[in-house]
Amino acid sequence: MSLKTPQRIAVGAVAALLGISLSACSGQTPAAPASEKATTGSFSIGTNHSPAVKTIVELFNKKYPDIKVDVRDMAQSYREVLGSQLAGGNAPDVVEIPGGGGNPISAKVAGQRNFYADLGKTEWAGSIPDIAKQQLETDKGKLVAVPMVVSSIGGIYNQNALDEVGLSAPKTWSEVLDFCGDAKAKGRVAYGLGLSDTWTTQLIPYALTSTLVYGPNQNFLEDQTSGKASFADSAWKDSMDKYLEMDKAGCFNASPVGTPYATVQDAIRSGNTLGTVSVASETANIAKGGPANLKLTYTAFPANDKAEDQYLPLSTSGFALNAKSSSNGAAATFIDFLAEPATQVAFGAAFGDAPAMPGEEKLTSEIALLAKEYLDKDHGTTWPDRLWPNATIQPKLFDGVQGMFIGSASVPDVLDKMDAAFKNAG
Amino acid sequence: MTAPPGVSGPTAVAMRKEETPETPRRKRGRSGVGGVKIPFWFVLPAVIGYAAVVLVPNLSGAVLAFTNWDGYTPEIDFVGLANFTRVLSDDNSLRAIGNTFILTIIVSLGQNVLGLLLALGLNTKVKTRMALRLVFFLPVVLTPIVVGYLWKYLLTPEGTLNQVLAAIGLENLQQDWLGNPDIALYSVCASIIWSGAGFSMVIFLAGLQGVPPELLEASAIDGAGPVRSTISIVLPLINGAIVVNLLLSVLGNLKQFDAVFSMTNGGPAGSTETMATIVYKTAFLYLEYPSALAQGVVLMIVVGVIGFIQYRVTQRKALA
Amino acid sequence: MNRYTGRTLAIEIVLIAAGIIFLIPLYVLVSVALKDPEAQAGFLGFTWPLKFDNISTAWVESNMASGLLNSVLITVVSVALIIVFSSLAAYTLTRNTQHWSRGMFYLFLLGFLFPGQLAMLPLYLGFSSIGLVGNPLAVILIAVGGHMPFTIFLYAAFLRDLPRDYEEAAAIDGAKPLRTFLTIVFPLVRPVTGTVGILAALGIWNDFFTPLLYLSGSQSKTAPLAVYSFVGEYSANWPLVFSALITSIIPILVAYFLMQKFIMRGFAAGLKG
Repeated sequence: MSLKTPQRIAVGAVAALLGISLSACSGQTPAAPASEKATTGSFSIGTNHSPAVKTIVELFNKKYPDIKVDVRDMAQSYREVLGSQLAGGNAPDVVEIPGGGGNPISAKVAGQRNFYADLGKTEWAGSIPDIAKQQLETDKGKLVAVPMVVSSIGGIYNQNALDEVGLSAPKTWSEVLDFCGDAKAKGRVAYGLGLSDTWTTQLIPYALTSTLVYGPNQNFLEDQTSGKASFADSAWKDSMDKYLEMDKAGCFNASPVGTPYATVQDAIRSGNTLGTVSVASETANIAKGGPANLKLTYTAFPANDKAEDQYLPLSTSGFALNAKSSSNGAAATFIDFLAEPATQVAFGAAFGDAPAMPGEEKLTSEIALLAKEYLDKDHGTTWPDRLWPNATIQPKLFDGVQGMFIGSASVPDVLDKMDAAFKNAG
Repeated sequence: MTAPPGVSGPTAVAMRKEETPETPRRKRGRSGVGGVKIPFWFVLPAVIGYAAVVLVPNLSGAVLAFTNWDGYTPEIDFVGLANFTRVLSDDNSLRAIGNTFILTIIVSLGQNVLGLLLALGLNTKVKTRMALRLVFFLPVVLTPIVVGYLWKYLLTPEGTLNQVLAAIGLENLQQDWLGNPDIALYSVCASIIWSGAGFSMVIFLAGLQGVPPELLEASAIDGAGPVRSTISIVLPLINGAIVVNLLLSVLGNLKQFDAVFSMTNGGPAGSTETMATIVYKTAFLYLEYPSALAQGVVLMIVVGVIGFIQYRVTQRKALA
Repeated sequence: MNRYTGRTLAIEIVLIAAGIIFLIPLYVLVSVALKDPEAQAGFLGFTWPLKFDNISTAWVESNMASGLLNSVLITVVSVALIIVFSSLAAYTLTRNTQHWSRGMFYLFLLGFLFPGQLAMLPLYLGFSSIGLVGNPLAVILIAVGGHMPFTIFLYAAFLRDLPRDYEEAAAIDGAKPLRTFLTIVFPLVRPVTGTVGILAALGIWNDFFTPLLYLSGSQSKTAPLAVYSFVGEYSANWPLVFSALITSIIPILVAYFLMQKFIMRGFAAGLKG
């Protein structure tokens, strides 16, 4: 629909009232910031309350004492706040962003809007692992962030509690179901589930579909886009059925939908719950509030009975350079510093996850080694939502899983709604 | 500022002399009763502040609800009612509208009935009334997000409420208060009533100050029971307090956001979603800014219609 | 009615029971805050010994001192401006009988209808274009403008019923309007000023969405924002989270207990309507 003149004037007036600069938004952003590096000056960095940022800023200031770094911590509502700041043109110079699409600050959405500078001409651009590159490039192939971690989803277990009841972390799907029964017999919950916090609803589906859907068919997303595949007619259905099968097998705590995730974390610390399926960095969060001798084990979460067919779902996050700050040499220096293997490893350790580009640095953590193992044998898949064409599919999954566990939705209902949301891609 | 009203010292006399020649002009431009001419600029700071942060942004939001403006891209096209038809055919939006009405009715009734009962009780000779008034008002001063986190803790499956029920032998009343979609909305209502009853109570207490005790005594002597004398004598006399209380709780709860956001975030499976939370989610989580604006306009219209009806009804009552 | 009868005793008992139920959530707040994270929680129980460390840890880690200071600054300045602007405006609108004053009054009432969400992004873009994001002034302006409808409504209701004799006497004495307002009208509307001040202070102190959007990541975080950030980081640690909640509400509780007589009186006086 095009505008008639009076309407255009009205819209222009509204835009003027709001202070939206129509020309500023449409201009292409200049690329290649890395050529103008500086060792003095200052820049700001926006973070989502990541303790790892503090660590690397300290490291950075050891190397570049004359650059002043202003850390702006936006905590929980990071994406809403940063999204508004990007639109308003006053975001920090360097910003922590998730890979893929689906939210206003992500590499694909904000990158497409030219909010982030092109980092494709940097020295390190060639050494990014494919799975990270896939998530940090816009659809037009512009690299917008330096990856810091590859985050996996897997099983987190309280090893002390496992030892106490004489169980070990399951390696195959059948073992998972046995594990649930054994845990129950010992009066423990096998897997804590805190679906009251909606983001946790997706963890087990992503862990299962990695092996059942996205590993076997690397082109599943393309097939979906071209209409050849759908959620409802794929192994997504098996995955969701398995999710419910776990519930029937008594794997989870009672009333998962009313349980906050924090309660699950507490239960794992105390050992009443043996484990949960979550993102790797949650091991650090669970350990933080627990007893000093708490030992946590982290493994891939199996979806079938062949260990060699397991895949690991991975996502990446990193730091982008605000397009408006691409002439800030100090910020460009920092971006390059982030790509150095030593920085990567230090960040990964502080973040509690696997570094994305460790280079030749030695890895010691269980999490980092697991991610490396799967990356090396090319058995990593991207978290599905990171590549979904719009942001309405994921809420259908969130609501759907809650609905499945309170009995108000069936698996086909949920997948049909997700398919409908997928097709609505604008 | 503590000067008694109507002071007329030497300065006032001096000013009178100075201003005498202006009297005719003042008369010509007189607008207030009794010759008090108030300059226009008195109202300017309020108008500018209000226009800048309320009127203009909201009205531009309302205009943009008829476009495809997504908050970022420069191209803006009018799309007519497309955003509205999409929103009004969306189950989640419709359910949010329904939830908002249920929540508003329950909270407004619950908070005001409870507040009135507390006020009536405290308006007697009970010895602990000062302390109790303090207790009942205490939740009002708490930050809504604090209340939300606290109640979330109380209502988890292993939370305080279920423990209390078990301890007093009422295990069969235990519920998954925030996880059961048939109950969650009412649980949220309970927390809002808890934090708002003291507010209503204080307003009712103020209204009751104006009810002469002799009147109540007289009705007691006439043999009217406490319930009847309350309904037939007290309520009409505190009509003003009732109107204020209902107006504030209805308009406030139609826009309810904080409690839902911090307790359930609209879940489980959308069963506690209100219009205010869904506008927020549609804009910031689903990135459907045009739909969010349309939802906002729908919310505005609902609040407007109900507010207007309320205003008319209470006006008529006041005249009767 | 004026004697303490058996019925009064019954009412008293019921009210005390209700009061105890009302206090349970707050009791839980305190008992969890002082809990030892490694000990099991008993029924409604404290763990012994009480861990006051939680409170001090939360106080330091959440940077609550600066949050409280910012909250005080923003609340005091906003409330002062709200009182001045809205009483002046209401005075003008009730004493002027021209058409525009009635129209303008309704324009202010329109503000009751807007859900805040509609204006969120337009407002933010406006503020960022004049460079006020991250500045407490943005929060103050939003609080002041946003409170105008309700406070003007309250002042206007009170002013309409206020006898005009004093003002008229002053006008005949030749007092200028501003002087009349300051020395005569403003003292007379003190009950509403009390109500407005308390309601606005509570609303501004407790608001967290506006500071969240405008002050996140700046040096001027408010107390609720400090709580929110802290909860984000320690979401799994109920004792620390509840300790942070307590440190954030202690100042307002102290203020409430110190001024409660005044609050109860002032709060309701302007609402009798």
